[in-house]
Amino acid sequence: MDVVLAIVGVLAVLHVSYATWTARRLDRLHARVDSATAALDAQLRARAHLALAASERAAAGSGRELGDAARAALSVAGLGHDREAAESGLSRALQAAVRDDAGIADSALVDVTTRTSFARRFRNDAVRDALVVRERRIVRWFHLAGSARLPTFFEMDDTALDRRTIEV
Amino acid sequence: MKIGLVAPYPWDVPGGVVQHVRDLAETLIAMGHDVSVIAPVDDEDVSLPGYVTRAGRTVPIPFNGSVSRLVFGPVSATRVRRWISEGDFDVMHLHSPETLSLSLLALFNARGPIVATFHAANPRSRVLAMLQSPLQVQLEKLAGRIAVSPAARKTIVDHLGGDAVLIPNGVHVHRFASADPLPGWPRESGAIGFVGRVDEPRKGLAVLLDAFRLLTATRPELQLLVAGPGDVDDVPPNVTLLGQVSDEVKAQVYRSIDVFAAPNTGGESFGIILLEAMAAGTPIVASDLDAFRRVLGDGAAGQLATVGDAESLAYAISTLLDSPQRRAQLAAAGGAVVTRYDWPRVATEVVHVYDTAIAMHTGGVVEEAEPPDLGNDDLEDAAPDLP
Repeated sequence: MDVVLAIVGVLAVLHVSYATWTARRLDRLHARVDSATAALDAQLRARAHLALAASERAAAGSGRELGDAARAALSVAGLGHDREAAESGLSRALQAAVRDDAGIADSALVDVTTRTSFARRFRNDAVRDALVVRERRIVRWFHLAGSARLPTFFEMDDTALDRRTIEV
Repeated sequence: MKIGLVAPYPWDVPGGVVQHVRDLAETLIAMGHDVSVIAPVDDEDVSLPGYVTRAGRTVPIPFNGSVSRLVFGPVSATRVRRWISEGDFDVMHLHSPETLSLSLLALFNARGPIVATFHAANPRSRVLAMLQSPLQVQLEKLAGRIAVSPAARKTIVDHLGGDAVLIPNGVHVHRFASADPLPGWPRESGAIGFVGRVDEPRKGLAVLLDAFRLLTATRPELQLLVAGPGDVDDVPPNVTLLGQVSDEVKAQVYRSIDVFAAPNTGGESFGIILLEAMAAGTPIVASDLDAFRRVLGDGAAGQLATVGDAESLAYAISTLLDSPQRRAQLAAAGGAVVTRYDWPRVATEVVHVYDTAIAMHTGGVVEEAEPPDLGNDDLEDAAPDLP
């Protein structure tokens, strides 16, 4: 009987320490999602501001559409579906404006589109890593995630402007 | 920007990953960044560039069909920790952290803005599959991942989960384009070239030697110029073995031949040798591997031959040797392709990754305070599911 009790005790201690370790791991993963979210949001805003500036250099038609798309993107907060739609619209407007006049895309604008696509990829990686751990039984049964919301992927058309088309 | 690069393999043993790290470091330095590299070094007497810190010696381990030289031990761990604390880096960039190498050791011992480049394409790596759970916990510390090829990216997706941004390997185009041929080369009678380890089966020199024997049956004067370390027996006449060569001589080799052969039989994630040949303006015959096919635009910038088939390789080479027009056409196509792999352009993309990673953190890279956190995911299965 003592032996059984000892085994149960050891297993319980192992289980609790594993749960504690998992909770700390999850904290780090949530922190990574939060910082990646802030970084992506900052890149998207920078992109919209640069697009707005570019729209003033663009030809009348595509320039007006680009300006509207940039203002629409700037008017949405958070990283929900409405933001996904607005930012994808801005990507399409940028591609169209550059097709009309490659000259509007200066290197700052090209660079920010590259960094936006990187920031989104890195954030989605962070979300995925967090979701994998949150799906574990130990996390669900023991509520190790606490009150942290389930992170979601951010999906958009983030095709970067092509450096080659700009330089030629 | 203060950048710490970690090379997984010995600095003094030639290899694609180490060459990548060195070229990246030198390009970043030329761009005005403050760069420090830590690398294993096997030969204690070898002189190193000022930006390289020694991490200790390596132990050879058979891995994935070839021999990997890995670094372990408390000495290396201490040196890595000191390098991290003294480096005060804005960003740390690991190479091939999925191997049991110095990169993984650095990842254990640091936190902050850390990114990693994955070079390998191991579609069925048992080692990776086995290590996945304990590795995953460490890899969660990475702010961002880079894959050098679609094959390397697929390896990440399949084995480690998650994704990576694609930034290809680079090449210093002008170094190859402006090199002089070796004295006495090129030869009137025509010459084929090979660059790579001669005793590494997957580099395919054996296939090329068989093809060369077929070709010399009708072209007795044809030459084969081979540059790369290792021992090889039983080479036919007309084969010149240069052994391990410096970068300068390697560039000259590409400029000394009429056709460059890449007879690799597998294990190639990228094919840097193809970029070098393209930069030198040398027409290419390459094995029809996925990675090569992609760099060569499905054959538009180089002739493809069946993998491991000496007859197919010999046929493709003879077609080029007989047609100066076709050679010129392939060289021009290669020259157009290789501009997007020029190091300054590639390194600029890498700096965008650094900027993105730095934006995700407050402060730079610091030593990991806690002892290495070897997460054991198996514990969950071993422990009973208590109600």
